[in-house]
Amino acid sequence: MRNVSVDKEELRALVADVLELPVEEVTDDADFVNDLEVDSLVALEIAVRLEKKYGVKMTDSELMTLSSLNWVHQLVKSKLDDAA
Amino acid sequence: MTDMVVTGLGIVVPGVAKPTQALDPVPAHSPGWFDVAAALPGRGYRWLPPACQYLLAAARSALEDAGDPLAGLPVERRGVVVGTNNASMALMDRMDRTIIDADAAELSPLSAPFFAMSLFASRLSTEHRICGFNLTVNTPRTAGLDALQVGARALAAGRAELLVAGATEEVLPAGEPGRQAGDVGAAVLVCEPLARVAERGATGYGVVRTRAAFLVPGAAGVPVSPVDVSPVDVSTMDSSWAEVCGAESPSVEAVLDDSPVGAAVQSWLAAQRAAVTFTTARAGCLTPLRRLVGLLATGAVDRVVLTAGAEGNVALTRLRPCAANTRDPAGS
Amino acid sequence: MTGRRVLITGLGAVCCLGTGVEAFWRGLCAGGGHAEPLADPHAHMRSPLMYQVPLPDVPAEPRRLGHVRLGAGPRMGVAAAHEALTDAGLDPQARRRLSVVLGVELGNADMHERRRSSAATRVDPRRGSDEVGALSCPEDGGRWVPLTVTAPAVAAALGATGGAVSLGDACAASGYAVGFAADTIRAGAADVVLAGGAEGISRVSVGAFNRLGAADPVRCRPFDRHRRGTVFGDGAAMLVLESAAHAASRGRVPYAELGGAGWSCDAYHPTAPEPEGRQVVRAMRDGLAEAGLAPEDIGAVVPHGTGTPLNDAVESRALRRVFGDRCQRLPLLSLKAMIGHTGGAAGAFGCLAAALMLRHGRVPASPPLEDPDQECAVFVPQQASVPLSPSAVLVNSYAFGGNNVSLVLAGRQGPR
Repeated sequence: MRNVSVDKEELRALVADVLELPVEEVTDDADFVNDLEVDSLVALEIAVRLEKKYGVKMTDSELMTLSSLNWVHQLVKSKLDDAA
Repeated sequence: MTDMVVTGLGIVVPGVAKPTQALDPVPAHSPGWFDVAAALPGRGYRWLPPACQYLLAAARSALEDAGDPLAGLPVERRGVVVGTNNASMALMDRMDRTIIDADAAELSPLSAPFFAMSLFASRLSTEHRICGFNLTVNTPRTAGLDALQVGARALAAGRAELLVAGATEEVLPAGEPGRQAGDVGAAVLVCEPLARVAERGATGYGVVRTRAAFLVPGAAGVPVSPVDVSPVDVSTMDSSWAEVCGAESPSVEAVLDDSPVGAAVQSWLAAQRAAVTFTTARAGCLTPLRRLVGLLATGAVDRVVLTAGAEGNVALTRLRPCAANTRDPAGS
Repeated sequence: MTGRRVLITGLGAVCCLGTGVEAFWRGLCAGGGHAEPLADPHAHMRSPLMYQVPLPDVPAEPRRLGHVRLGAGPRMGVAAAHEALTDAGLDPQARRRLSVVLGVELGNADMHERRRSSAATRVDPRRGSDEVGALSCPEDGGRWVPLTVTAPAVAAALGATGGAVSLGDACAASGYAVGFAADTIRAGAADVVLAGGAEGISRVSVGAFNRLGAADPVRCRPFDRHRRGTVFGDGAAMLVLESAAHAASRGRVPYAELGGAGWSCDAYHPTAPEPEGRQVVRAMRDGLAEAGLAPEDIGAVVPHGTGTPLNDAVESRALRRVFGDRCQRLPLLSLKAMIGHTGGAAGAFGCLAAALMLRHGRVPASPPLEDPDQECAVFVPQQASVPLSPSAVLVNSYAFGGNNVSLVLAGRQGPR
């Protein structure tokens, strides 16, 4: 069942799960690459989970610039708004 | 022939807490027998396929047991050889069902690379900065012992000075024949040339030497009926035995199944006059290596471990005591 | 380099260009093959392309090894092995003593995949054996059916009793098989070893590369600016490796000498190559050193060249570091653009191509690049074949997960 809205805390939990971190460490602005050690494969995993959960597709360039929780939240939100 | 000294042992198998217990019968296991958070604390392990987790955990134990042999050894002088038959089977099954029922777009990227069974050894290399070489052997049933032969050959060719050799397996997925009795877990041995052991003042469990052979089921090139006990040509067993044992007749630890090849090897063994301990072979390549670990750990080092696969592969590993600096088995 | 010299005295092949080494060479000289969509109706993915062996060239025999039904990979392996042994002219005793070392990543995967999809709908009969969906013979339904049965299948078909080792290092597996076979002969542990690789079509492997963004939707186009990944190919390549003394005693003229090999691993990442290419460079340099050659002694390179953005960039830079400015003139054979990426068989196909280049003294032209990537400062002849000089070829084979092997083959007119 796909979500049609995106709750930031749910998103935080999803990202924390993939990264194997406590949710507190996935702060709104923590940089995925520099602070949280996200590499290309982990970024791809996050994108696939987002796709399954929210039905949104990432482009290759969006994948390469997954930068923070806030950024991801905005991206998913805008894609859902576009689809609506 | 290439000999290596075994200086470290590690094992992760249901019901086996340490290498000295590796000869105990393996109990039936339930999911959750392996606690990845306890064995591999920290990030980066939870999403690995189970056989990779077992392998990493067993390797940690073996390296610790060997007294930190990587210290001071340049990364390019370290090598890994891992044997496996079934490490990727459950994952490939899940991936295939996703592709059939939905689409490849739904595959998990973090686990997808592990459809290739070489990724298990690659992950082990990354864990311990092993840059000399990392090989995966996947010969049916014999891959664990073959890993020792392949690794020994590489050491003898000067491609590394230390070898982390092991085998890892996971339960087969539903629908695969042989699932009921499959290997699960990992065993790892740290192996070094004798000169290096002496140089670093380490102690060894024993010396190993491995030889492979192939028994042709039925006449070459002719399809073999599975119901006949087709004549299996065992004549090469004599020369293979001679190459690892010379004129000696050590006791044998035989890991065999009831296939025509297994039966033929069993008959050949009966005609030799060595004492034989039989263990029923399982789906996978781990059991022979597990038995080897147990023998080394308990000091039963004047042995041959022998295994054969239904498809014709045979491997023999001769264990001998170290000339000097032998490990005290009771101390491990 | 210590130990005995290792020669290549027999070759065998099955690939998208057809059956046999002659078809392979002719096909390379004619610009290679083409990627086609898989006929498999269950291959749900964006780019289900492969460079496929034509159906009439997929042997129907042997159908099984003991209780195990054999898929296309093992059957093609057996066919190529028979060709290589016949080519080498080995007598029955040498055949019996032969050891086999193969690179096998997927083995019988098509049979296991067919079992799963035959439960869904009718399976594509184009690739079928009889009794679609059965992994093993009904009488032995309970016995374990290993995935990687190719090496024992080949040994059994040849009657080779020296041993059958199967290496699984993904895209470098048969490169390592050739290297390990050479080490074995050099050490005096064997006189003759059959080394090679064989792979069939696997839905899972193509699907995985699709998911990882490593599957090109158009074709395999290494070093092209628009490349988007690799495209797999099925097939088998086999080489008979023999000690120089043994070959001389038979009056055998070799294709080439296997001069040396360099092994390394990145220990860096599950899929991405280490960006500096340090271990890739080391493998090339070690291979040259083992062969007793300098970079200027190499006349051509068969690169790993997969068409993935990262591999081609890293490998190009590494070639530059090893060969310097000579890179502008050192011809590459873009083999994967012509037969696809043959996975476990890729290293053996690279050696096969190198041996033939040395025999014929030429480097075939590769398929034209639409838009050469300026970041890949390499020379890929595209208009016409070029002479091979000096008479030595470097073959690179890299597995994702960071396993690297470089092999050096030298011709009889070589620098030695």
